[in-house]
Amino acid sequence: MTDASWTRSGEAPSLTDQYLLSAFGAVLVVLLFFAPELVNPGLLFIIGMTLIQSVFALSWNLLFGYTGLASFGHAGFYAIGAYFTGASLRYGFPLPFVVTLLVAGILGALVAYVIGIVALKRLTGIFLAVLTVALTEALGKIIGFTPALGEQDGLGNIPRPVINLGITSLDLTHSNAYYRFLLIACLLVIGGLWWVIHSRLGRTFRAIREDADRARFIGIDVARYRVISFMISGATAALAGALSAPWTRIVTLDQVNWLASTQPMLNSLLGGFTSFWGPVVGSVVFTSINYWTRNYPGLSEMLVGGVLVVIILVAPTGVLGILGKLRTRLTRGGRA
Amino acid sequence: MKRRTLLKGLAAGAGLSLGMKATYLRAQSGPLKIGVSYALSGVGAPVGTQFMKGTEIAAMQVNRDGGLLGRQIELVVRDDKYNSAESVAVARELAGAGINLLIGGSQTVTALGLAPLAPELNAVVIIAGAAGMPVTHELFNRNIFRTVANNYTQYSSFGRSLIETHPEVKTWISIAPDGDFGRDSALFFGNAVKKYAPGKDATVLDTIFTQGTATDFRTQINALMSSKAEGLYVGIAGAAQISFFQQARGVGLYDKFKVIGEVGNGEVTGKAMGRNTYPNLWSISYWNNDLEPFKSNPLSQQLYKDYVESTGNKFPPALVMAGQRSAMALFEGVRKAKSSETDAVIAAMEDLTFQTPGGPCSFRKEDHQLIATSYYSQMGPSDKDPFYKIMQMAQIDSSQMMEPAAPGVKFDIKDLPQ
Repeated sequence: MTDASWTRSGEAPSLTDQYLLSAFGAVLVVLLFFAPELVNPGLLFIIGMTLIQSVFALSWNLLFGYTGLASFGHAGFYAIGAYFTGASLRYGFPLPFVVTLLVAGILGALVAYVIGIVALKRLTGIFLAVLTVALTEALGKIIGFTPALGEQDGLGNIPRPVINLGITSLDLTHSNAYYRFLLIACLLVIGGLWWVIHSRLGRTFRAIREDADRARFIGIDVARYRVISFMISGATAALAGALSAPWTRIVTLDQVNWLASTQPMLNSLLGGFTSFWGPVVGSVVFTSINYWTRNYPGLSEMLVGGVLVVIILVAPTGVLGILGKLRTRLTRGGRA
Repeated sequence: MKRRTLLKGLAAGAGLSLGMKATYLRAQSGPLKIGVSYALSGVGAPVGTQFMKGTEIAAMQVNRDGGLLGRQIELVVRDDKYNSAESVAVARELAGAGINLLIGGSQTVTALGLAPLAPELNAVVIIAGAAGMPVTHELFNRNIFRTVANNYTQYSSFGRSLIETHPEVKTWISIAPDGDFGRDSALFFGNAVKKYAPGKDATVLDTIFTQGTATDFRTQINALMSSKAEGLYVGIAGAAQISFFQQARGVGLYDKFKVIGEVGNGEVTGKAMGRNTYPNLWSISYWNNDLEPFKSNPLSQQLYKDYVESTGNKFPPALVMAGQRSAMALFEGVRKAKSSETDAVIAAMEDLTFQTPGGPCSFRKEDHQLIATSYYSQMGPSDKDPFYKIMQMAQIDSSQMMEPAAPGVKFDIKDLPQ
């Protein structure tokens, strides 16, 4: 695995490390696939939400960690996907479910394109952050006044889909079936993002993040690539929202405000925004803290806050950054 | 199949069935676990924690009297964080742990996540505090029971109560947040004022809308001051309501209006305003132990005693009664069913009448909506600690003010006979 945090510190993982990490990943995927048989439905729901939050956080980190842009209103894209899919299932839009997901992603990309054209081509820096916050707040207001979207109460009782495959159908109405669909969909999206980041396109994003002026000097159309990054990010966030609607079976205004936008930032910072897997690790850490402190109301917020302070002070590169440093020390200690 | 394989299979099957039987027997003889999911942190905590206290007292009272079905009640408590997704996670976790009796939904946002899940989890779910209409309309299913009046009943009854206690007030106006709850509560209130005014000669002016979280109400207060209204309904809740009263008091709004009804802040506004509480402020309430009909109700006296003993606080919030009532509804359902199985408890609760500190309660069979007495308190300033007092309670029989049962059908006020 050529992880950004390791490549920056100048030490790529050895071949053995790569094999070990690949084996760990494979075992994890198998365990996740059989999770419905291994854990209770409550924990399964939480695992499903962690997968969705991981995709959401990865979408944010594509912007921040890889293109050097900050979106402070990413929940808006998530909400676009969640409400579109929720409404599509609730009102029986004549769209196959997979097409519904794709349309949700395209909607996210389109909105990102419009914002990107305004904020990234003509303006820079803080304007993108402000515009994304504005988008989220405006969306919240629009939904709050739209009876078909449940106004303040939210869109509840969203049915889970049945995918028609021609000669047969894939019934996702049961939690276990939808969970497996969700897992595969999230793995595909994560795989897609991995490919983007490790492709020529991803290297272009990183070049822009490192130094936009130099990137421009060597012929990169910075504004264009920033818009492309923003569109991929918006589409991915909308896909995360789209996948969440049938899982939670309710979409509410809780998911369309600035507080909801801080969740992917929190997960990315916790796990480490300099690494591809950092947002995923952050989502797992955040969920674990929440789960283990569920009997102590308010404690999870204090713990997450405390962990964040420690991470920012001690290891700004997050949990993976700490692990990377530990590994380096151990390796050097072993060599000495 | 080889003989050894067959014997192994039989032995494993026997072991498994014995193990399952032992687990089943343990589950039947140990404490009766009841899942509780309220907002115990976050912005919903001021409401959720009061519901929690009432529910804890109900469990303590039943356990003190020997328990339920010969078993002690054990509450398995979770925090839904005032978040619908969290309430879904909590309900699934509790159901996954084998708990089929749940109390939750201290607010509408969490109840909307919880309610549709109940059939899938094969659980009986008590929706304790959510007044949103969808719960007993488009989201209705037979596994849920709502132990609080819905918005239509609550605010129609409130309007009726105020016009009946103040028939001399002919012109009314509302200020409400510009959201569906604010619009609906003002609409239900105003419609009831017009309908129940003696001679039907009350006028309800157009509602003045504001932001639910606003802190500056000068424009709206000016509009109220220049209106001809003498009666006011304030649909703004929480800290915003306190800001409203603080600003309104300074410009003479207290002198202009003869009566003000507020959405349900109750003691929160009383504590914040103290000696500056509006002198004829009416509020949605659940309980006040010092006033009739609670004063002469032994269940109310016992609830007060248990509350003071467990907290040391002599001024219990009214919502404690709502939390206790919700739990008692479920406990009495189990007692009547003589079983904790989901179907038996549902059948028992559909035909249940149980006693509470606020009088007898039952459920409407068609949509599992609580039928109870709705109470409204009159509050004003006081010279003694806590510097506000509740002077009297008005009451309306909610069965007279309920919309016709329409489970599965979205509520629309236009469908009701006007």
